[in-house]
Amino acid sequence: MVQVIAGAANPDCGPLLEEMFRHRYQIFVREKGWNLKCENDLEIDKYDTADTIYLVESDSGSKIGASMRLNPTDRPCMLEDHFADMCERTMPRGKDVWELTRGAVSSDLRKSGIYGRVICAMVESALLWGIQRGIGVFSVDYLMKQMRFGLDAKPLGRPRIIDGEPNVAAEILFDRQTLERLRASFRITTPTIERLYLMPAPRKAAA
Amino acid sequence: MRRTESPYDDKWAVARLHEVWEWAVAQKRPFVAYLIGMTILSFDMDDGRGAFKQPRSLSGDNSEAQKAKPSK
Repeated sequence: MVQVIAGAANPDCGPLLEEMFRHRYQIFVREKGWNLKCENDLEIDKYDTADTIYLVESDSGSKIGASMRLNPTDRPCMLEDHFADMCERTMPRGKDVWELTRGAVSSDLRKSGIYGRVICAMVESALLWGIQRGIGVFSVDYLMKQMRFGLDAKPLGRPRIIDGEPNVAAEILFDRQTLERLRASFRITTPTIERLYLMPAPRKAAA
Repeated sequence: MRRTESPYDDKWAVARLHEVWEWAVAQKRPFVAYLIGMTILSFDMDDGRGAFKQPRSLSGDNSEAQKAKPSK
């Protein structure tokens, strides 16, 4: 089941977030060899903010199996900052568009149904937050696979080879029909969100 | 319209639930937001015609193992 966490520094789930940043380091830096700036084996960047939403699939709350990062696009985002030349169409942006980044799955779980639950939780979260579309840069193989499972994706430009792998900027539409198709493909019959961590309101200063 | 029929439909009900969801998120009430959110996401499972199907366990759930336990 998937935990939904609002805020990169959410004090209600510090250890889980730290474990997720460590898991990202293992996947993106150690395994994929991406040149990312990291400290203490934690992969965190400027797109991990108080407004970020994380989907985390963990084993009894400790060992991370998969995660994903969702960011609003009414502010600077990775696609615009680093991959703008991959968009031949106008990049969708706004309060109802999320950028989807850092989708990570442990290597030993890639053939399990774990990522199906994260994908369903992504659409569930989008429906709850009133998000219409998601954008991002995806590997072509991954995107084709997700489209077969029921995601409604449209390329924003032509694919480009990044780190030896064809990647494409794309937008994904979120609606109830998409969720129904994904649930049917992954044989999921219930909501996959197990818990919701909202960023707590700041404590009032003592009088 | 029969006296027992509601003048409202699913779309109306989900829209009202969504208002409460937005209120709960704004009020930083995660448990209330979670419960309302699950109601919104489960809405299609019960269409009111007596066709509600009990959800199946997700793979990895150990409910089958629990069922196999002898009862006291």
